[in-house]
Amino acid sequence: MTDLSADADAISGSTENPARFTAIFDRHVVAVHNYVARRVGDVLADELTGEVFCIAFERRATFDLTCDDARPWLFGIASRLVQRSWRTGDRSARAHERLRHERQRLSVADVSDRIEGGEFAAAVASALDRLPEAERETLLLFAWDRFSYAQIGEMLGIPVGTVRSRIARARDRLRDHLAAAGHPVPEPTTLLPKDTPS
Amino acid sequence: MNDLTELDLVTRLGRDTDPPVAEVRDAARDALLRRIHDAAATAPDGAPAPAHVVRLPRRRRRALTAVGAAAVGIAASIVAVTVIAGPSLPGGLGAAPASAEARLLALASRVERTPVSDRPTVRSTLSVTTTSTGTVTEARCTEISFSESDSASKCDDGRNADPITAFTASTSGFNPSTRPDDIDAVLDRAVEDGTGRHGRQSVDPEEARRSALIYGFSQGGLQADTRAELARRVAAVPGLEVEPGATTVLGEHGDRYTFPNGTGTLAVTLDPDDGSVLEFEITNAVEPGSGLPARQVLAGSRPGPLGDLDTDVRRLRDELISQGAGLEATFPPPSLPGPSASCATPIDPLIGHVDAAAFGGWVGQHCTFSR
Repeated sequence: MTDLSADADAISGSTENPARFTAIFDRHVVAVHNYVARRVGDVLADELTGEVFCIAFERRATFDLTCDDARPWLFGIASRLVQRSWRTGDRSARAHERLRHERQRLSVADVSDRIEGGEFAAAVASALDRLPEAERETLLLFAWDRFSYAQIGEMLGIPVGTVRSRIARARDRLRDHLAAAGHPVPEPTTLLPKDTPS
Repeated sequence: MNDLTELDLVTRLGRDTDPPVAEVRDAARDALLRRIHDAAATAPDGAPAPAHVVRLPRRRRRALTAVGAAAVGIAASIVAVTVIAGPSLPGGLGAAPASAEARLLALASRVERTPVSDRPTVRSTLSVTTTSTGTVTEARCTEISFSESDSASKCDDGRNADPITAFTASTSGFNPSTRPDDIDAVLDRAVEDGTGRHGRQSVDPEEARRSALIYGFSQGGLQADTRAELARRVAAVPGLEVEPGATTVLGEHGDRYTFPNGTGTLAVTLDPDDGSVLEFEITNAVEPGSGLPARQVLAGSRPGPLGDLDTDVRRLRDELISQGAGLEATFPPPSLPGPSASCATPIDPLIGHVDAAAFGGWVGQHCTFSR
C-alpha cells in the first residue's frame, strides 16, 4: 500500500538525520531524470539530475511538509536549473546541439513509432516547438508529467485559472499549427468511455 | 482524419524516455551522499536542525462542484474488482447511516483502514447490453485475479455474445497504483479531453467529472486509500441517491448508488461491508429503433478463494509472467496519471487477436508499473 506521507516523512526526518534524504533520491531519481531529459535531452539530464537532488537537499527546509508528493517541488528545482543552464555558455551549446539532434530524431521514424498514425509526429513536434515557452511548459507539465492544475500552479507560482487558460491557449495554437500543416485534429465530443454505450 | 486530439498526440510524444543508466544514477547518488556527509560533518554539535516552514494543511478533498469542465476518457471496468476484506458496520445495515452521502463516507473510512488483499480470487461476471430495439447481448465470464498485476478470464457464449468483445471491455482506466493526489490529475485530464477549441466545452463539465469519478471508483485493483478518496468525492455528487439492499442481475445484494448522467443514469452497486463493486449500470436515452445501446450492465459475484488451477490457466499464467516483456503490450490510455502501466497479453501473430484458443479459451493480462 502506498504510504502517502513517505516523502514528507523522509524530508522532515532528514533535518535530524540527513541520510534519510536518500529515500527521496531513490524514489524520484527516474522521474526527475525523465523530466529533464524530455526537455533538454539525455546528455544534459545526466548532468543535471544529481544537481537537482543536491540543491533539494540544501533547501529541504523549504519543502512544504503538508504536501504528500515531493515531485512538484523537485520538478520546480529542475525547471529552474534547466532554465539557468541555458544561460551558461558551454552547456547552452551542448543543449542546443542536443536539441538539434533531438528535433531531427523527432522528425522521423522514432516519433512515428510513438504516435499512432505517425504522419502527425513531425507536425506535433514542430507545433510544440512554436509555442510560447510559458504555454509549452504548462502544457507539458500537464501532458507529459501528469500533474493536476493545482500542482502545476504551485510549481509555477501561478493561479489555477492561469494554468487552465495557458493550457487552453496552447491547445488552441497547437490545433491551428496542425491544421495549417494539413493535419487537422478532431473536436473532442465523447463523454462516455469507448467501451460503454454512446 | 486522425482520431486523436492534439492533447493525446502531445501526451504520446512524451512517452518512452529512457531512465538514467546505472553509472549516471550512481554518480548522482554519490554526489548527494557527499553533500549529506559534508552537512553532517560541518554541523556543530547540538546545532538546531533547519526549521521547516509551517503552513496550513492543504484542503485535500476539493468540492466536486468547484471544479470546471470535463469529459471522460476512462474506460469502465468491473471485471477485476478488488477484494477488500473489511469489517462490517457495527450492527450491520440496520445501523448504517441513511443518506447516500453518509453511507459512502462511512464506507470510505472502512475501506481506508483496510489493506487490499493480495490473495488470488475467482468470480463470475455477467455483461448485458440492451439496445433500443430490444436486442440483448450477454457475456458470461469467469475472472481470476492472481495479483494486482496479473489476471485471467474466460467467457462463454451468451446471447449474441462475442467473447473477444467481452474481454476487451475489461480494460482498466485508473492505474492501480494511483495516489490520491493524482486523482485530481485524472479528473483534470478528463476536463481537457472534453474541452474543445478556444476553451469551448463539448460536454457538460460537471457531468463528465461525475462520470470519471464513478468509472474510477468502479474499477478494480486500486489501492485502499485511492478508493477511499474516490468514495468521498462520489459522496459529494449532487443528486446522488441510494437504494440499500438492491439486487444485481447476478442475484447479489448491495447498496445501489445512482445519479443522473447526460441523457440517462449511472449506477453502481457496492458491497456495504467492504466496498467491492457488485454491479455497474449505464442507461442512455436513445432514439427508438436506432439500435443504439440503451442500457449496459456489468455485474460480478463476490470474489471467492482461488482453488486448484485448471491446467490451461496455469500455462497461461506461467507464460504471462515469464514472457510478459515479449508479449504484446497495450498502449496505456492517455488519461492515466502517475505511474505508467504496460500490460502484456498473448496474441496470435497470424490473426492479431488474443490467442485464447491456445489456452483453452482463457485470456489474461500481465501489467507492470513504472513512474
